[in-house]
Amino acid sequence: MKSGFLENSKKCVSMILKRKIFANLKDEVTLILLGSDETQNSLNYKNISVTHSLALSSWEMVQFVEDLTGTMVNADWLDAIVVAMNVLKEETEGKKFSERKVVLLSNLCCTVSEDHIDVIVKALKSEELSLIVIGPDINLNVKHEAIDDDDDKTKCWTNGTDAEKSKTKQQLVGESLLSHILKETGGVICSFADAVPQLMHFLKKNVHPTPWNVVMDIGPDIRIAVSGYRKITPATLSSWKTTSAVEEGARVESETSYIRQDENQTVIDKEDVIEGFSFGSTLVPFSAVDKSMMSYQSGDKCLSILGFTKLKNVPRHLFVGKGVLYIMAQKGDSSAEVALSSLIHALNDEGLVAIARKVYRVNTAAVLGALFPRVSSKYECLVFIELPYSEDMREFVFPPVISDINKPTKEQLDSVDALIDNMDLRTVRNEYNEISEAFMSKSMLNPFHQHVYHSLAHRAMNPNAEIPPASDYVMNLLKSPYETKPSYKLAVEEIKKQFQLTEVKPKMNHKSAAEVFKKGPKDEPEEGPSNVDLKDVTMASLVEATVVEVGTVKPVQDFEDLLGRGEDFNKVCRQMQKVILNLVIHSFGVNNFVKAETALRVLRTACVTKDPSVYSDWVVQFRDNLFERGRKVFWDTIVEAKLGLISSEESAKSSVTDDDARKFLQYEEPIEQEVAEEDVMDVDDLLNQM
Amino acid sequence: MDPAPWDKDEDDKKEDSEVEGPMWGGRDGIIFLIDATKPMFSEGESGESPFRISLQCCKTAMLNKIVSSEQDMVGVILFGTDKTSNALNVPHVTVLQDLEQPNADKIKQLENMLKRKNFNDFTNKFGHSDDFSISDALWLCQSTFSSSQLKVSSKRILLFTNTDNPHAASQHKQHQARSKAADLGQVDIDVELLHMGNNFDPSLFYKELIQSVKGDDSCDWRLPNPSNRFDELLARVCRKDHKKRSVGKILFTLGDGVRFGVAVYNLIRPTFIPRKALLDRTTNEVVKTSIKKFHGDTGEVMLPSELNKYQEFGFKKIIFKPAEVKNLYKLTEPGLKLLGFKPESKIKVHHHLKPSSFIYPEEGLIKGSRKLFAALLDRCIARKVVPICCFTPRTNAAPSVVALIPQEERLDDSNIQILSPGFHVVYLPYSDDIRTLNTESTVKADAEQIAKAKAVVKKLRFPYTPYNFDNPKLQTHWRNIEALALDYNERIEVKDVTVPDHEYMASKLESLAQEFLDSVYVGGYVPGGKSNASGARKRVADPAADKPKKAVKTEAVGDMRDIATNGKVEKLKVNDLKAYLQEQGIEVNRMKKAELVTKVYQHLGIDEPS
Repeated sequence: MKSGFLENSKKCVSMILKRKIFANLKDEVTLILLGSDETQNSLNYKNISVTHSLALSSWEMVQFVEDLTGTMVNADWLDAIVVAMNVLKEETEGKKFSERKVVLLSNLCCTVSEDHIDVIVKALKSEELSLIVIGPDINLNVKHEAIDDDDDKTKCWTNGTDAEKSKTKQQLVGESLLSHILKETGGVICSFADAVPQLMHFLKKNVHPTPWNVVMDIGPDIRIAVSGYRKITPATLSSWKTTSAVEEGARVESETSYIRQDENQTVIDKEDVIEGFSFGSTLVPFSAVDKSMMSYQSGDKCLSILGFTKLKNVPRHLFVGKGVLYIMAQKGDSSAEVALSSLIHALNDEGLVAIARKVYRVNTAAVLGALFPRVSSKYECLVFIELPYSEDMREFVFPPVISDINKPTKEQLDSVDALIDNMDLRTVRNEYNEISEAFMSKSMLNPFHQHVYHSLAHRAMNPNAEIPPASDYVMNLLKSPYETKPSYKLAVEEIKKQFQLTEVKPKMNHKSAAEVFKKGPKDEPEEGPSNVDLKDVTMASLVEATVVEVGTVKPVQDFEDLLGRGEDFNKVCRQMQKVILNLVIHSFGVNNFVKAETALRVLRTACVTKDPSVYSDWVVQFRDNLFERGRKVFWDTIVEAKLGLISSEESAKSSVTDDDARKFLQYEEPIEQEVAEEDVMDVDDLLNQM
Repeated sequence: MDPAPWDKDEDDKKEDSEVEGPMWGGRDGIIFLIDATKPMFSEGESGESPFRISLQCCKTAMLNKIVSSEQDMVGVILFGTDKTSNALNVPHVTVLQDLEQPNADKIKQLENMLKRKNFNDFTNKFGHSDDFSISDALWLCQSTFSSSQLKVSSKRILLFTNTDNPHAASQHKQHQARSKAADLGQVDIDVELLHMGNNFDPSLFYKELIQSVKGDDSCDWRLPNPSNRFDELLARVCRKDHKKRSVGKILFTLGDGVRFGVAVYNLIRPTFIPRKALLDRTTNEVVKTSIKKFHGDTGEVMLPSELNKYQEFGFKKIIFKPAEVKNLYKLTEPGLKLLGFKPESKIKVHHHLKPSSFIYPEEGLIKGSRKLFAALLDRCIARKVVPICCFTPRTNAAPSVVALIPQEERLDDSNIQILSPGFHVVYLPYSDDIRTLNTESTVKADAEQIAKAKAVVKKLRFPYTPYNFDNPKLQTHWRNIEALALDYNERIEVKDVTVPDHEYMASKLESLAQEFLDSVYVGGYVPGGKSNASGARKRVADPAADKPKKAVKTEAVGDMRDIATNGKVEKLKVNDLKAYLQEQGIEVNRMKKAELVTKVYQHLGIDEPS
């Protein structure tokens, strides 16, 4: 037996089983090996064994299939069909199945006895079993025959490649026999080349459409009995559940606790939590009574038409909500069907759409939507799509794109034209030389979902192995069919030539202190050494560097280091003062106020022992500065932390009386009218430098 | 705020959740800078002074802020008052409201001012003066922004005035104002002019002022015509009162090595009723919530590192480490990748999956993006084609296939933009998102019936725009909160604009409704009525469609009550039972016969014979 064939068969069967597992289908499967070393079936046909009787598919079955190895045994595939029919007949007895199928995977290489072929055909027919064969490419003659004969229900697919070359005589005999059976029973045959790609993807679970029944109204008199069906709705994956990583099978539960936002982070009982709504920064407690009395009542379930409007008034980008609802006449109500049909055609002919209010169930939110007429070859319906409310509209204004200063040249436009010409997705030639439209919704697979299913299947089969990266099969779903085409590449090259595109270096995302004090365009080079641009500094130099001046990044440490090294006290204090000023005045918001406060405290403490006047003289100036530059908030901090003048009580070296020190902190803003225009301009200029 | 407890299943959301919300990228700061000189108080034809209109705009904008983005900060500053009342003593400028989050008291203050018949009190209290300087006023705004205690990510000044040349007499002041304006531009403070009065001539002073703010080489802005009405001005304020905030800046790849930058915006997204705040009963202060996982049996708290994720399929728990689950999302790099082009007509209306986004060129990523974007937009509009792309909005987001619908810029008569230039990003459904409905239409309307329907729809035409429809649920909620917060005695009734005005519709239709009904229904047919569903219909366009199978079915429906009263429902075949129940809109999936029989009795309200 050719190993390639067995591998392909294994792949197919394994995929069929996995698909059933993921789709949570109730389908039951039996597995029969043809050409096994053992013989294990109730009819005692040689080298055929029923390894799994009819049951829901399981990972164990998948594993079994993937572990199969080839044998050198010959077995009759017709026998196998008989065994399969027998198993199906016996094991489905008493159970209800909507359909029973035999899928034969064989290269038809083995000798086959055609004695009972008519009996088999008869049995397949009478038991209503359908036969599907996945095998080698079937003889082209057979195929033509099948296509010529219109009444023949046999479906053949072949990719038309040199199928004949490698076939043995035995295979040809088998094929003609098989095509006879298929013809008689209306079975299906398909080659691996066709089957594998069709089986590679996972299917979502089929949802039985459930109608939402409502009587649609147009004004007080016109009423039509309709049903809404979800036609498009974003497919979702099953959600992940939580389990213990340390103890298998342990239940994991979760609990919500409510924490008061104070220093102690006190946990409070759920009973002590009430609800409220914020109205700006005002909190409005909203009791259950308020809620029941005041909440919006949408009323009964309805689909009410408010009026009709031109199609162009409802452009595509207004659509909101997820998916669409098809509105059709209620099943079996032909009067409704006629009424709805007349409305659909009227809208279609006039280029109008209906605007409607929809309430799904009593008192659920009222949804506003448009009803578009849709007339397809099979059915007519109205397509309901949600529309936004005025509150949902965000009024952004964008500067013009195509303007006098931003006008593309003719050559530039031509290069874009060439790109469009070379990437037409309407007519794409696939590998079988067929022309079709690419990226059509109905045949487009969700690559992410496919990737998740493949990964889940991989983990199920190999619990300890790493999850492999997305397969080529998945990644190819998002590739342009033109990606490798020379004409497309040329068009891209031309665009590259026509347009100047230069990458802008990304800015750092995280604002460091260094960045906060980044030099403005008019800034003087006055920052301390800690404010150097980090990008220009190697790690080594950062580690080795010794502090030469107090900087804004870690001022307290710098200050202490410098004093510890015996630097001049006055000089270091002046640097510290400058840094504090920088932190407070030149920063937006209060981010640096804590740092400034700490620095101020350290400076003050140092001065209390060494030289109070260095602090006291400066802090007066600093206070004025704070008021001048609108940093009253920081002044309040100083008052609260009592970081004012150093009084004689604190330091013997100080000449400031206790009373003066207290008065200093009680300072109120000057209400003098002296803030002359020049002064204003001065402060102004300072601010500009930021 | 921490996620509320009902947000438990964070995994479900990951795929679809849109990174949005008011906190994204910090808060906006807006200062309403209102001219308070005499001319602002002279009443126009409408009987409303420009000052009153401006104040009304402030109030409405503030209420809107509370609804849409309550984190934003709003301040109100008046210039041209005789009195001086501000922290920096800038002459003839009065700070009416400091830059803070809007709250009930602030709105009440404005309401009280607006309640008065005239502004005489205001004049007595603040007075008017022409001795102000625009430069000073702007500087005070700048200083207000920089001294704000909360981080403000975008700063805008909305300047309301009806005097087109305030410093006509002083070249010096004009110069100062322009140079101050340029300074503001440098520190990213934007100034928008809300000018009023028919004869307002921006070219005298303000046009140059605004140009100074925007920068000399910027011509990406234009001044609309001056407004005289409240609603006009308000519409302009609404367009200006928030900063455009993109949900992401990404690269658009056309092919090997050809990429340009775009910013993605969500122009339309549902506004929800805000989440409830959880308050401590004793203090009325907001409490935090935290969710802890613990061992179901021992009650021990489990750390995130002790937890795994799983899904169950084929009788097996398939276990993933949390990091592995996260890794699954790293399928594609963020960005747009061009796959090809299709004619615009290929994008079907009924293939709607979810709300679209909008892209606009972003020079900040790649210089030259604007030009290439312009060329692409121009050609797509001219040739009516749409680029089809693979779109990954951000890292860890699943890729979508999207169609980029080009949109040409459009302005209205007053020079206000109503359609922005750029591409709408329309999500296309995957096959998994489309459900199979095995439905077939059996009968169609004939020409006469269609004509009657046309007469009806033509009578009920109206020009639809989303701005005419307020969300009744949201409005009710906000009016209630407003009434509680602002101590109104009565709640304000909200008109539900989504309820059709049947009286008006009937008066428009007159006899047309009955004519339509007569043409499509016959006799005693009651739409949606249960027993009469078999009501004969007139004129079937395609008689062949009247299949015998159908007749049997409807017959069965009519007879079912008889059968049930005789207790013979179980004698019917499963298929007939199912067909009947399905017609009645009852779910029959996977039901056994006995269940189906019970359902029929239940549905008809007849006791099942035991």
